Amino acid sequence: MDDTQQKDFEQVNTTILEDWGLMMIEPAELGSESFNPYEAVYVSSIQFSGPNRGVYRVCCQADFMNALAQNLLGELDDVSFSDQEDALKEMANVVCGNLLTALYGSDKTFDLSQPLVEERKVSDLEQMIGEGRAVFLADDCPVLVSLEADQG
Amino acid sequence: MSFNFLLVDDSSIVRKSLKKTLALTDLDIAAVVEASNGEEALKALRENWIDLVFLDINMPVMNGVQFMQALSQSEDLSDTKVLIVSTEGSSERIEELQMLGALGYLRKPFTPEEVVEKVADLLKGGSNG
Repeated sequence: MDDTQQKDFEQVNTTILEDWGLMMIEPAELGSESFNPYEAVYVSSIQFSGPNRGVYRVCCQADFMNALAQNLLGELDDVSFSDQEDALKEMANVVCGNLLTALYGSDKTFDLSQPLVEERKVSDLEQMIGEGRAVFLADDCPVLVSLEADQG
Repeated sequence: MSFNFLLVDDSSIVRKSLKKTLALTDLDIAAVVEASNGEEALKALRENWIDLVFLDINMPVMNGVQFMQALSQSEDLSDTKVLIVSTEGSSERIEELQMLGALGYLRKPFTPEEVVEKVADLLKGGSNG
């Protein structure tokens, strides 16, 4: 991923978290302090195929998933885990679709897989994330996003 | 005049969110029916009078393109009004869906105002792509 693509990658993620997720976003650094090592990490991934193939991932912990689902539903109380998972899957879907257009243009057609959510450990993150990556604090909750893509 | 809507999306949170958005408009809504894929949507269309379908593309079982193909080949359902609501950014795929009869396209993420504008336009009988 070149500098322009990295900038587009960060911009699309930020815009969608702000405008769709209704969250305050600040850039952050990936470090041991970013995620709570005693809590699970939830990773939503979506694969794409077409002129380029790859996978987009969003990694977060429970507080982010709950905040995102609450914002999407306009709820003040905690929402069900099922809705939280659904919110994270939909985030992967929305970001990936918009990223592909931003990176490769609207003249390219891609097929997206169904997004999945899996529970992992914080120590698994480094081996899972791709070359293009960014870390944000979304309403003070850490979120790691990554993109692995071939050169087409 | 009151309207019946069909929301077709495998994400329940998207359906809930869209339902809330529609409830905030001044549209007179009689019913909002939900389906989580194209196959369920075809069944819902046969069981309910629907004024407008909100259709996602990337769904399991039967996706949005397959649904539009089935709809266009159906003798009794081919006049159904469909608004595509998707992350799809490919101009070729959007054109394909419009060729199959989709009247409009709303890209995720969307604002409540965009939903109201599109719905009002389509229910008037117009098409703004």
